[in-house]
Amino acid sequence: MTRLVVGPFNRVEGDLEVTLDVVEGVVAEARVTTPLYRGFEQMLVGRPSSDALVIAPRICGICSVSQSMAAVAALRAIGGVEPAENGVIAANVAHAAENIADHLTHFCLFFMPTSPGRPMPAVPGTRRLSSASRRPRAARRRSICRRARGSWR
Amino acid sequence: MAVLEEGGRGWFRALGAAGIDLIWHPSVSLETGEEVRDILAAVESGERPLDILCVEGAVLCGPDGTGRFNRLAGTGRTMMDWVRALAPRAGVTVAIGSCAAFGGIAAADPDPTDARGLQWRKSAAGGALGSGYRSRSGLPVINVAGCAPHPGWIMETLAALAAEEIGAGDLDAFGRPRFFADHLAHHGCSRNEFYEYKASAERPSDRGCLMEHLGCRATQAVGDCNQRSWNGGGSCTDAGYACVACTAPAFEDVTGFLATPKVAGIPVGLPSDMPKAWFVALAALSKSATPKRVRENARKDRITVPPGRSEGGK
Repeated sequence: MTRLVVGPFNRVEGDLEVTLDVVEGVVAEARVTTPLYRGFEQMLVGRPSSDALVIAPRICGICSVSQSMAAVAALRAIGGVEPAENGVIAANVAHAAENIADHLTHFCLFFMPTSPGRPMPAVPGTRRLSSASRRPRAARRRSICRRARGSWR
Repeated sequence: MAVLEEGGRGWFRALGAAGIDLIWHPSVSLETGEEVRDILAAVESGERPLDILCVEGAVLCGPDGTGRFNRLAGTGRTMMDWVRALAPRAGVTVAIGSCAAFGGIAAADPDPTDARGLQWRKSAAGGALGSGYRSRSGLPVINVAGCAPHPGWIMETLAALAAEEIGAGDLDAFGRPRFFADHLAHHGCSRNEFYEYKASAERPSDRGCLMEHLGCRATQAVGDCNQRSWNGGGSCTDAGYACVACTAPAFEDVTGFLATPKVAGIPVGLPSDMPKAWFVALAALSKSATPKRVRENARKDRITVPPGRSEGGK
């Protein structure tokens, strides 16, 4: 058995490590590790509850509004308050805008450069099961730049 | 992520225009796994030159100074170790965001991970690299503070560095580029008229000034936030959200962000260079002179009293 530790990964928002146990050229076991601990929950203890509205969104730079919405839902539940109807609509619109932006970011920035045409990077010591074509590296690079520029103007 | 919103032409073209060749960034680069480890090894050994080292996120030095709360995947080494290994190779080192600059939210009490900025630990010099650190150019760490920093602050700093147009005199006392740190977030605020008359918002979504009751620190926070547009338009205060002074070291240690601390009814956090007695006198005077329109609109979530027809010098 060979153990492979894969990382650092490109085009993920966050920290991720994959450990593969390879037996006779085939992955026998795959484990995912997040090699980052921050302890956000501890930071909120003892603060005014409304501080969650400042701290929670800063958990993530790409899903800040979702984190805020979760904090708001928790605060509402604790306080037993009914939100104003227009307030719910405004928050939902902001949340939807973030959701759209996230899909575009994920698709154009993280996903598109890998596909189509570029097979997943080879993991040393494993057999590739698909026979997807490989384009020359320079062509791939031009392609990512063009797509990225096209997407973000 | 913040810098992706840079300008009309986009970040990649802005980098190209500044003559910056991006070696690797986890979000946008094709290289992955072993290819990245090769790049890092080449830079660490000095084989591949490193002009600008950008660090995002606080350096987590815990537990017990090991840095193991944050390992760099696939390398078996901590980010603390990598930062200390690469920083001496860098022409200049740039902290992107308040976490990398000062520790930021990651260092909020009780600071579970011993989070530090590159060269500052909250307001104290030191941080992960130590106060004596200088990059090859002789500059201390350049702190593009903010949570999140404006994309323009990031890209303009990088472009100025590429053109060798930032010297020690272009940084403020906390290493922040003065082109944005010489301004206050308050400058250009769209709630300016309400501020002048101390016509204050009392509840979230009121149109009035957020300083007196709702915790706004824009009169003390550095940043040209209200002279730029964020995500295509507006700013925190424009959207009705009090400034939390995210460009300041230790901003995370405030408790009660969205309420103004007061002593005897007077806000504690007055504009830093304004004498308190003057503020009290001016506030009383301006409150007594507040036009009905301003006073009414300050406590509404929409304009209910428009400017009168006779106004405007007819």
